[in-house]
Amino acid sequence: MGGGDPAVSGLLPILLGRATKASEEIHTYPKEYICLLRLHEEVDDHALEWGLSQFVGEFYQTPPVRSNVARQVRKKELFEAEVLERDGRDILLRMIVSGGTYVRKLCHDLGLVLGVGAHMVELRRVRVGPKSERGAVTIQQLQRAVWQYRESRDEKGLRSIIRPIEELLEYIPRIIILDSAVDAICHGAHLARPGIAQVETRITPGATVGIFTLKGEIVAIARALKSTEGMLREGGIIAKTDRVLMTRGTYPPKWGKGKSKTSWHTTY
Amino acid sequence: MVGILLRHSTNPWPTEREFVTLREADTDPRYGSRPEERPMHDLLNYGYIPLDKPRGPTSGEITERVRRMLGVERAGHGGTLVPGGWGRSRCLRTPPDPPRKSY
Repeated sequence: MGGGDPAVSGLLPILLGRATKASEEIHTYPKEYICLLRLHEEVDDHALEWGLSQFVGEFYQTPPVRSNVARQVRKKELFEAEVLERDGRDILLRMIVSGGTYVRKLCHDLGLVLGVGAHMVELRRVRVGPKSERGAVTIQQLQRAVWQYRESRDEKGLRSIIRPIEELLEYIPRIIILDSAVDAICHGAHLARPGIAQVETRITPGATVGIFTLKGEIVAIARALKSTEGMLREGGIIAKTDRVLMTRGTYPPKWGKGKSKTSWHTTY
Repeated sequence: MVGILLRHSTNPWPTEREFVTLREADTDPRYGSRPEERPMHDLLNYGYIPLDKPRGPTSGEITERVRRMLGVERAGHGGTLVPGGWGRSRCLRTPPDPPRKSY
């Protein structure tokens, strides 16, 4: 949408450099919004509550005409909806929705369900996955910190603004690997059991997982082939590397240096 | 009259995490760095800014402004804040290599 939307504000995580490779994961995080909705006709509280209850849980949504995704019906989730304030037809709503939900469309659809029509007047995003708007910085604050850094090489201000990407990946299940396995993963190898130090308990087959170093740095985003129990029971490839974030050579290459002459491509 | 709160049974925010250790291991301090101790140069490559987007400009425009301000090569955002838009800043997509012309 070229023109921009004047009424939308709030938390927008900006990923820098190689961290942009994690953007897909951020897209799929649930998000919390405060939304001002205007009904086109009078509706009492009872009806409003009923209308909202039609969306709580799973609901279906067709992306708006002007959107960058295919216009097919998608299953979305409304985890929580709260009416914070109400002034006649103006409703202040707090909502937690699954990633990729169009709130404007949700408001419109709520209007249809209520039979009176409604539209979104204003929207503010207050939480993206693990990050709430507390600690969000304005463009001006960023500008000042950048200037301070340029002028006096004082990185304190900028450091408190630019956060490690790992903080935002907090909600992705982790697999922690040995130093010796890191560079192989950076070269695109899949993760086999000998390279693993620790795994998180709630991993299911097919789930997106983050491969982390023992220092807590993100190495890559991968797809788990086994559940946590499966990983403990059997060997073989545990996760298929999908996107590598860490630059090659950050850790020394250690693969293919073992005593056995096992095939090189199944290394850790 | 207000006080309508509807909640679905699934909690959108996972709470506790537990790990199983397969192998006790140490990490070599000579390589990499803990995320909190990352040097500024690396932070610009493995970091994010929790920006408070103002009303007005699109997410893409804001992202591009931040990118220029920091002088980094790439920047993207996690979820457009313009209902209707989606994805990485348009200007930031790496252009494909020019086709090799042969006449």
